[in-house]
Amino acid sequence: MNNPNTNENQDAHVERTHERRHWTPRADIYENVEAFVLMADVPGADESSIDVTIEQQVLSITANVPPREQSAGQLVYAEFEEGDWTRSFRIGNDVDASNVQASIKNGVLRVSVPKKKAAHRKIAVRSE
Amino acid sequence: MLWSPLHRTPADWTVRPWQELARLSAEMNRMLADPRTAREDEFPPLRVWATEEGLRLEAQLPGFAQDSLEISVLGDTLTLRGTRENVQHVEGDAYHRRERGTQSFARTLTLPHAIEVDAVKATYKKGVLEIELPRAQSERPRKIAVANQ
Repeated sequence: MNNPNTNENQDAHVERTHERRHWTPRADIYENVEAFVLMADVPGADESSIDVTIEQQVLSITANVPPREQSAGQLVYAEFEEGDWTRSFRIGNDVDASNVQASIKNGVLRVSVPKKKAAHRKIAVRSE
Repeated sequence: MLWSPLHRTPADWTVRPWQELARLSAEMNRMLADPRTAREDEFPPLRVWATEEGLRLEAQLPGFAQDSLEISVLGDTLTLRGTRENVQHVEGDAYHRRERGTQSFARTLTLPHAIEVDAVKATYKKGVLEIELPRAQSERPRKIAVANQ
């Protein structure tokens, strides 16, 4: 099943225990001065149905898409299947994992992972 | 998986033979092309339900501003257009991975019946566009009373 928004998830790290399909969302990752930013297309998910976790330098996103009610009529044509979105990314150790921020708007998840502040500090020099 | 194109009824073949031929030839071309890339050209991905009132269509459209989506209906032709909201970058920003689309899109569909244009309703929520397309009054089945002689 091909879908411009998805690839079927074949390398998920965690096996699912129910029959629902899960898909890999398309994602962009870019870096600016302060942070690495991940943008992922998760249509059908919202802030209450999405989980973002960081564990052992792996950032994982899991977004549940609530199933559609059955009374909607007869499905006559489909280019995508209902399912949840899951994907994991390995992140470097030059980031500040305790200050990750995530938001979602119009089915696009945005996760911002701040870079670690430079280790050098400026030390004031007093005159004696 | 359901792969039944919307307009494959015998009525279509008899009423609109040229259109049906054009559709068949388009389908042949698509089958000859790489099936994977051919299908991926179709954006946005759709699902369509037949209801008592007409059709209900759902499109996966993550990352669009509500007012950048445009729906137009003319008879039995539906056109969807939209432009994605893109991130504004400053110099020095660098991409490590880029899979999401950045372009605007337009997709036109021929529906199996004419649509009551004034009654079309659309909602955009959580990156999913849903459109109610009621069948035109003139094309609704009518009950005909049988006169008793």
